[in-house]
Amino acid sequence: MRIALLTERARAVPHRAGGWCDRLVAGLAEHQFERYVLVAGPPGAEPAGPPGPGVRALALRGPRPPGRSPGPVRRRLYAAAYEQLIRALVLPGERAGFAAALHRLAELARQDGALPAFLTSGRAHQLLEQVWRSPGADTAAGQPLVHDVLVAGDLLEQCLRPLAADWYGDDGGGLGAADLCHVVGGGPAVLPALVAKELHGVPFVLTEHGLHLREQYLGYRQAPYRWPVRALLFGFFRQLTAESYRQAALLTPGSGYDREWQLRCGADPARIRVVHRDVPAAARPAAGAEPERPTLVWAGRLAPAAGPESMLHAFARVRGEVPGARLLLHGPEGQPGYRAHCAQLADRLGLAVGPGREVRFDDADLSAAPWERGTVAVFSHRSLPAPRPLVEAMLSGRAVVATDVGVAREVLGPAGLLVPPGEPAALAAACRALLADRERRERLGRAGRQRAAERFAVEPSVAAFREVYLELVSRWPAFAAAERASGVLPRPFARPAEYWVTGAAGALVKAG
Amino acid sequence: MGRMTARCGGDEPADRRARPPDDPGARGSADPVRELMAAHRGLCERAVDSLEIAAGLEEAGIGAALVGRYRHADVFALADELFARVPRRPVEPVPVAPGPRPVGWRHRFGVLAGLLGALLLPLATAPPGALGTALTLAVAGWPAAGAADRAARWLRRTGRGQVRSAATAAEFRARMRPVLPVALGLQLAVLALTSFIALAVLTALVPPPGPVSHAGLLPAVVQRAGAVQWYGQAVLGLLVGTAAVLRRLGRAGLALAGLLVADGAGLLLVALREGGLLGGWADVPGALAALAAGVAAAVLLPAAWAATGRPGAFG
Repeated sequence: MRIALLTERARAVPHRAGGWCDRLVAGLAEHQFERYVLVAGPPGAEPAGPPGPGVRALALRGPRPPGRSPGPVRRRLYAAAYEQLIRALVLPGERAGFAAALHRLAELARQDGALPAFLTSGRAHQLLEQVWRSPGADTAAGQPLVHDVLVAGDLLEQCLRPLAADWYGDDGGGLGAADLCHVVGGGPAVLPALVAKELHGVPFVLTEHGLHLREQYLGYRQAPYRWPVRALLFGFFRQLTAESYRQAALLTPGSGYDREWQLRCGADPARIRVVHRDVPAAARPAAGAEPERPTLVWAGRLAPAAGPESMLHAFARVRGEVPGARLLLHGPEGQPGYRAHCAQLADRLGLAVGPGREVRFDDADLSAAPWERGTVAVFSHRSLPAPRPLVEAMLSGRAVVATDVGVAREVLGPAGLLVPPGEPAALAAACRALLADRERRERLGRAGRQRAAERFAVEPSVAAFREVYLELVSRWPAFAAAERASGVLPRPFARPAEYWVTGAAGALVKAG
Repeated sequence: MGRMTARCGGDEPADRRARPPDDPGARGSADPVRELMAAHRGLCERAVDSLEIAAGLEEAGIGAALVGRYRHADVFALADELFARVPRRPVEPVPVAPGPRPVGWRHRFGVLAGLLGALLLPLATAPPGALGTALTLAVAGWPAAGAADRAARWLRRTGRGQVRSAATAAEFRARMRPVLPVALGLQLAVLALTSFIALAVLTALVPPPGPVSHAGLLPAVVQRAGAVQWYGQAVLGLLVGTAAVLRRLGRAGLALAGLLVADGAGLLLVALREGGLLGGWADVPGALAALAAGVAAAVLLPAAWAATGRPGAFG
């Protein structure tokens, strides 16, 4: 089967081997993967050449790709489609036109590639301003100014760049020749899959490790944009998310926590299947003997969201009852000056800070595993959106105490202690209970390691996707585009799954 | 239903309202969401929709485990209530100054070469008899070119300010209408001043031939250059000024092309004059320079006018 793997990458650095996509590609050697990468690096960073052999890349930031503006006739077509798109974004009554406008823009861009040039032209800005300031537009907290029109126009141009990519051919190497698209992460990376589905009838799977929309909400909070710009941009992201959930053949969120968000954004529960993201550390052996002195290990970025203050408050209570207890705070600073703030707090609580003292700050990379230096692993985080840190702690074989936020409940299950967030007394009680009871600690540690190794190993994740791929293509008609054109209803199971596994021979059949 | 009745009787003592939401006492309060509203007021006022509030609440630790305290089934319903109860009052972000526009060395070099050519235009096109005055005028043009760039930068700064404050593109254009004439006028005034000073120095060093005028220094200096030469100097100033404006507004290619056209036209006219193809008017000092610069300025001036009214040029 030929699978197009669509991803969005934050940086333009050359591809780092060993990522999730690499494990997937290596694990499913019977399929032929083609990689399509959207590089959303920080503006100004130059793309460092081709990201790797056989990988097609498109820059989402930086100056717009070169290309001539459309002529007067074509410009009118572009303008009509763009106006429909903006109306769908800002007029609550016209949301239904979003997908149609996207596909119309993609069709025009395929014909002459002038979409980016049009979107940065004065005509596009004029249209945006006109519709945005029209009566009925959703501008509850302020009208857009000229500058907002410019900024929003640029942001939309960057988001819509994938529509103008030259990826949609159906002769060897394009998305049209693929049997299946696999989108990893949402957002603009879904656009090519949506277009390929509309154009060639290629189904797509959407995998989200950490919900894209939620991350955008958190990421754009510090952005220097006025309210109208953020409202327009999130209107786009929300509608794109809803449309991709509607069109995706299957959604595979990384956790039940993300599944809740997807349901809220309009996903059909029948087409959601939770596939845990594998953690390569699953093969690592468990940590050795416990340290001599009872030690609590906390790991995370030193920032308010990770809750080190709550940890210090809890430790101040633990120390009174467990003599010789220590606390190791492992992780780099997430916010300038926050370590000094934490050290001050520890001082106020009467804790001695420093190497060899009660509280130790360990400014190490988060990838270094600190768990074997502790007796109990503690997570006092205010939010835990991804399972990975918890899973790594469980794999070390240490008992885990975590606040009941985000994915903690489903990841930890019965193999650890959950405490309500923001209550240091409860956290301290749980830590004390574990420090005092060696047998319980070992039992929980073993159970946690077993649970994590079962659910988050590489092989089950890869096997899950093998099954997903085969199931999808078996339900999908073989020549979707051709059959739809001739007005025939799609026939499920028209071809056996083996047809798709034949690879090159199947390609010949399909091409012929 | 219980929440609705609770909200109606929500006037409780201030000390209970100020209690943090994670305080166990909050469970007993009549309207627990009110405390949450106070704690996350900034988030709720800035939010563009209720999902943003949900994301913010979850990041602050109010997840599925705690929403029961606020009498909701999930964090999304809680966020919906907060979104409905708190009016939108977004804070204005601190504007970030745009970084310098990267200009390639080719453009810099080209504009410099074009400028050099444009300022040497009066010299190159001067008839053999009037070299002294032409040289003086060319020298006077150099400081004025600096003034032109300064005026163009002022124009760009003004435009950036207006882009951030104007409501519509039409309003922006209306506000920018006087800016280009003022910038060019200031630059021409500087050019007139430098030209006058240069001619005064020339008059003091090399007195004009013929009977000594007793009418005073001013007429003598002004009459040192002919009317056509003054006119040519003004047109040249206009050309350099518009080129500087276009370059600052991101149309460096067009600016360079305009300057090169002026140079090319000047050299062509000189060649034609040497070939005897032009009439006697071509021997008037400054006539060819005025003509060559006028042709280019006629092209650049509308372009600069259009660029000044386009908000995108100031982004």
